[in-house]
Amino acid sequence: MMLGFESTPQRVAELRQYFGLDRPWHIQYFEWLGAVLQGDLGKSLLSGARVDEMIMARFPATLQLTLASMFVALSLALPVGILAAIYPRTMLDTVGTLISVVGLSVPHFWLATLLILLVAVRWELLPVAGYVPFAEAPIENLRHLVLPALSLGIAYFASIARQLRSSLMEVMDTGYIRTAHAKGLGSRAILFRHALKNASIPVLTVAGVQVGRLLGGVIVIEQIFSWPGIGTLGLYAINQRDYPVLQGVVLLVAGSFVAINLLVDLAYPLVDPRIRHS
Amino acid sequence: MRKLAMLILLVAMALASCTQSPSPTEPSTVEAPTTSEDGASEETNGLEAGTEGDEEDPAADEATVTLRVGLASDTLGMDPHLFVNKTSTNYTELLYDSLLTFDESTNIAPGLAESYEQIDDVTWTFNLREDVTFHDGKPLTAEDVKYSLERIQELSPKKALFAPIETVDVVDQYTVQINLSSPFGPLLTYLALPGTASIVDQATVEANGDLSNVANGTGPFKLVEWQQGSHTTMVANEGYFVEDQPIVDELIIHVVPDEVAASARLRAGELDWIELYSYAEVEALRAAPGLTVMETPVIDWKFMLFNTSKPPFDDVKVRQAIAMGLDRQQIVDTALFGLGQPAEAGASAPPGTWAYVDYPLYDTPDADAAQGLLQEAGYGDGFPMTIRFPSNWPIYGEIVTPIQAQLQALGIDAELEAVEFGVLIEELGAGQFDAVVSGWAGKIDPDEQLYEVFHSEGALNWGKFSDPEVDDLLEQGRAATELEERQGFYFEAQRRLMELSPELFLIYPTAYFGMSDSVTGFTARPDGSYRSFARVSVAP
Repeated sequence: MMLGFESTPQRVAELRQYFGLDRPWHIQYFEWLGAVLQGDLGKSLLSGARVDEMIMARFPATLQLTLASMFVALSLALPVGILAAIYPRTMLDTVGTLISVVGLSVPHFWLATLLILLVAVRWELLPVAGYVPFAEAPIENLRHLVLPALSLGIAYFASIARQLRSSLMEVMDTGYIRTAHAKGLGSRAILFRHALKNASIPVLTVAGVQVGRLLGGVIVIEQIFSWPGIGTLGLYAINQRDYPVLQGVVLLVAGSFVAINLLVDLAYPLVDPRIRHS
Repeated sequence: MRKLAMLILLVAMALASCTQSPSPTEPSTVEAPTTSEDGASEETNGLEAGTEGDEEDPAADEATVTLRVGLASDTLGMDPHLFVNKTSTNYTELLYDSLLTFDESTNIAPGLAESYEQIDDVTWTFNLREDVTFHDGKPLTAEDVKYSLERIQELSPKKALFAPIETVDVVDQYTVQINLSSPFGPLLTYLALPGTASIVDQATVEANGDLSNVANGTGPFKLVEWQQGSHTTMVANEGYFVEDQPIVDELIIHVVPDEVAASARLRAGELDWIELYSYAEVEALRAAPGLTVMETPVIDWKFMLFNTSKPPFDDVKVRQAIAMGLDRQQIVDTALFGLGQPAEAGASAPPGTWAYVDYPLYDTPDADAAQGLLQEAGYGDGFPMTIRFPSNWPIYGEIVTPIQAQLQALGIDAELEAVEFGVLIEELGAGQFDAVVSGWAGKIDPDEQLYEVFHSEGALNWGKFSDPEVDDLLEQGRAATELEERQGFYFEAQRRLMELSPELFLIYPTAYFGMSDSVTGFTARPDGSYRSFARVSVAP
């Protein structure tokens, strides 16, 4: 890819040998793995820059976007899910379901484009795209964060809302909730002190899995909004066949996914005392 | 609520982690190149003694004029010799100069060399300007030219273009002599290639290993910062040897891969100039107030290459039939929304260039004659084939669709296969294809356009085409140095290529640029160079 259309078979062979790409792939893999375990992610084939530095330079941007999107998703999912559960089979529930389904069906990139055209171009409320580091200008950073976070958050809140609704409904029907009612606790207290906590386990699980989908969606959104995160880095690495960079990015994304789900697992005992004591 | 608390904690952590702005790592920032032997301070140079504005400090200077442009991709790296694809040269050509350059009509013009002379068939001398300095203040000398040309021959993916240069001699401080191994017509063109033929500073290379992340050139702009994937910041080179250039103080190149976002940013005023690569946006921008769309023909052509080693494409009649039967105008109308030209009377060189042959062999599609030829060749009932094209650029998907329909009318059952570019190159190299639709861009000299692809020994002759007459003409075109003489050979060669049709020359696309009305002075060069950013001014 470095050579593009100018690649002649000799030049390609020269380059492959230079980068050690002509060795058997399992040897290349174990060598890479060994290096990784020692903390060395290698160097970019194209620019010679250290892969770990390239990734670390861009990871904060993606982290910020992912967390912001999760925040949006949860902010939408909580009210929609709770209200739907408290007032099942009413207009509220139906509307909530409708919004969720729309969120589920709408492709996030389409949503992104729509938001850009409406909010940024027509109404001129927010910048179209781009990135400003938080340290440089916190307000600008947040202004640039809104549209991408909304695009991802709206697209991914639905599953969480649906899960919350059904878990909550299930929990509210249980024995101890009715006991609480009988004891005279107000509905709100019941809701927040008891029901939600117990309903949140499956919701946490779903949220953890959703992060995986978010990490995937981040690639396209970063591309659209020129958000310099590891999504665009990965895309560039794929297009340019910059293997060390691509391997580093995939490793990081996979690692993040595992780490987040680990966090979710660790969060269970915080939420459900039954797990804590077992 | 616990969950809420955890959430707030996470968000706070995220914001805290974002206090590290993603810049000070190798690929991103550029420090003053570590070369100044004479201890001269960073941005001053011997010529402009006493100019206060040298040290760029935009925050302090309220009247700083900034040009913000949007390009579709980032450069692969800042080394002009290592990275020669168009997107990279669009960056490096602003930071470096070559010995020669092209004017707006792609005629050779003086660059770092103010004059040149052909001593004999294989010897040329170039006289350098004596007032050029690198960005760090070091004066340009013939040594730098020698070093650069040798480096190109060693490292450049396009080194084959410079292969006939046998030796480079330093005659004196400002004179270079180039000795060729054989007469070589395209020499001047290749020495003028933006980016690819840049003159670099040896000390900077040695201090940094390569030039991927630093830039100490002679060009109109100096590199301040490269945030890979996001943007590149350049400032004006106050000591640039061309008077009054660049006009703007600062140039920021934003990477905008998504055309809708690019167009939106232009409309919202976040960018002043964008390159357009989707014809869909052209209409929208034309209608928008305060914006202009500039269109310009480019030395690009889209083609369909046949694998002439594989039946039925080894039969010239089959190829000619297809050439005859295709309606190129229709392709332009449907795929390019009418924005472009059908290659009806030309081959690789579009109208407006000196090698344009004006041979209207296929200006009227004739399906009947085509059918007749197919019959003669024994394929009256048609045949199946696969047309490959790169999936990375939407335009090819759009071009092949009308082609498929037109071939259907001839009884040819064409299956379309979108292949990712990297994979496509491999398949082409291995000869695993029937036909491929793709394009070339920015090749100014017909030697570069034709030799490697159509000469039987050409390194890029994937279709395995071989014709002794074409070989001969291409070799002679390469060796001749007088323009008229070369023209003769290339006219002949192109006519013959059009007749034999190992490749169908389909269309000449047009390039489009969207810009704010406050931007003046931009002219688009037909080879896709954006050097004219140095002549652009932005009204406040």
